[in-house]
Amino acid sequence: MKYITTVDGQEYEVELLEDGRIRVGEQEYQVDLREVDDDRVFTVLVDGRSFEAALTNENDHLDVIIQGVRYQTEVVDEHAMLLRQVVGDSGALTEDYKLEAPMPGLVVLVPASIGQGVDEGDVLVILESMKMQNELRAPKAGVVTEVNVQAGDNVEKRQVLVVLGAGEE
Amino acid sequence: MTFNKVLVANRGEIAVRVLRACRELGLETVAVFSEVDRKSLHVRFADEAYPIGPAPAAQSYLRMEKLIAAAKQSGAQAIHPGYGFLSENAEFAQLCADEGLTFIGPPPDAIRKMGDKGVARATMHAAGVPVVPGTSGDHALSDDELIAEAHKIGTPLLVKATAGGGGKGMRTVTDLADLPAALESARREAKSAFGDDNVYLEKRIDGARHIEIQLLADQHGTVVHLGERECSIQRRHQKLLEEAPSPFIGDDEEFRQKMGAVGVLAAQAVGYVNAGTVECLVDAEKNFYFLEMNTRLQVEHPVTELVTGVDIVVQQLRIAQGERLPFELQNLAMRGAAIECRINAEDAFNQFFPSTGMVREHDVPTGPGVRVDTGVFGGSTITPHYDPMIAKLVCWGETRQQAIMRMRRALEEYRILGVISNIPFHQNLLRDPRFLAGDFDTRFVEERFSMAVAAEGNNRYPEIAAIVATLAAHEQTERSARIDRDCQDGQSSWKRSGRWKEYGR
Repeated sequence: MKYITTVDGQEYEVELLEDGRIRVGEQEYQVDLREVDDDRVFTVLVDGRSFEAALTNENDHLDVIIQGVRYQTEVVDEHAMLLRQVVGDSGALTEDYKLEAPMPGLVVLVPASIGQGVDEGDVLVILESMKMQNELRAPKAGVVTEVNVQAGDNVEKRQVLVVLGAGEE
Repeated sequence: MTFNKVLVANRGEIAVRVLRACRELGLETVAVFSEVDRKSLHVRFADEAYPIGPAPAAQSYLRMEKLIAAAKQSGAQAIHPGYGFLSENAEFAQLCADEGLTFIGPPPDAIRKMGDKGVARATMHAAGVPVVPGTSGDHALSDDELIAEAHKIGTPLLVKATAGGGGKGMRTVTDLADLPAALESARREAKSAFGDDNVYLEKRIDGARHIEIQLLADQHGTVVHLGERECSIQRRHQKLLEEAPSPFIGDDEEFRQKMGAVGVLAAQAVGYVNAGTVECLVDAEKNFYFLEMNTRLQVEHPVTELVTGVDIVVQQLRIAQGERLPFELQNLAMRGAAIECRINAEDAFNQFFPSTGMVREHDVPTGPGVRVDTGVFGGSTITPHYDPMIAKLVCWGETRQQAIMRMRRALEEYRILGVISNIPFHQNLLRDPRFLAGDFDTRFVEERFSMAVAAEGNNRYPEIAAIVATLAAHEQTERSARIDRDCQDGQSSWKRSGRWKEYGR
């Protein structure tokens, strides 16, 4: 079975061979992986080298933590990869940027208003959470096309607060 | 005043910390909890526990009458406020006294004098303690008055909340044209955080370090200092890492004693009793200025405990019982070095945004020289209602070097799943050459430290990560295929699909 596995943006071809052998790119490894704690913590021996690895998915993708360092990963099997290449990347339906609440909190101030042109770094919303006021900024220049919240609103994590359109160039 | 039952008016790691000291002294303990804290460690560690309302602190941990009622109901004769919440609230200290309860902290008058930063600056100035140049006087200043003063002080300057603390209501101004906007936003934040929108101005001392003196004062007029803590590693005025001794002071014992003596003077000027901390700014020429006094136990008190061997919370309880400070605390020498990393639920790779949710697993490091103060456990929830601290990881070593190596080891062992922590920040910081050399000031993290640059070369095992991720995904696919098959066969599938296939046997 072959997989295309991306780790921090770098693609690896990973093939599961017989007898615990795994090929990563050109290199073949002898792997012994055991679960320590249901589906989360593993002890891995790779050619005798010992690692403890934890699996976690706080960011909506599978992260692997080794020695306290987090590796962002994505695994696609080769059939799905082929399909993806034929169909093309299905994303890019819209150029809009949706500003989502990075955490639940209380909207303190909404400096953004509909139709307003903003520059990169402009504050769109001030959100209070855990007693800190966090300034949520525009990642790029654009035009405000939607404002879904006002000061005093309680918002959930990932709730869309403001939408930025690409704007006329 | 003696007591044998203490109510701890706090939650999280500090409530646990105080409960432990009480239990070690044989005192009975009472916890209070909000609706979301019913299963918390501090509830389980206490002899008694009482509900005090909904999750928001304003409806529970900040409700004085509920705390007093819980004390009366349980028969507690003393209240320890921890830090945050009501710990620096003079009104609460007064209310305790009026109700015949011992407030384990300073007298209300000392809290009041230090609580208003304008009053504190004026008091310190009069006592001969050097203060940072800035606005003077102890009354509320209008925007017009502040703007006029700002021209005399010059830039860069800081706008600060007189009721402030923890960096809230604080703004930096480098161009006086930006001052009106900074005043407005500082007042807004101060109003929401403290219910008081008064602000004052201070000259920003560039290249300064934040060094603080730990003090203990008994009811009989004895005040001692336990040396300094270096707290310059901050972001947005939030401390992230503290250590003792300060690498800047090192073995300059004369300077340490000079700072200590000024700390003692500051405490005496307000009739201080119990544990307190004088925060100072120290410039490159070793001039130092009074910044503020925290009239409570500090988050970072454990680093002092590890280098002095003094249990500060036990001392707080003894002082409140009317005991005299032991003679050995005079001229106490520090032994070795200690470092504290604040492990917060914050994503260091994404502007330190807080991360909330259920902690699925919390395995803390142990071993020689490692101490962890925490209230978090697997199954507990980090909520937006309270601060994002998961734990304080504190390491001691015979030298600063050994403490750093020990901390690196402990951070590698630390495992927290379910929320994102700032452990990678600490790992990167502890490898930074300037940090290792002790060459940093309060703006180091924000201006000269980049996670992206520091993280480079850290990800040493991408192939291992690829192997683990692939096997996990493979197993998942196999498992769902099995479930499909079993469903078609009409059999129960849990037995076969419920386990990981051990790979490589």
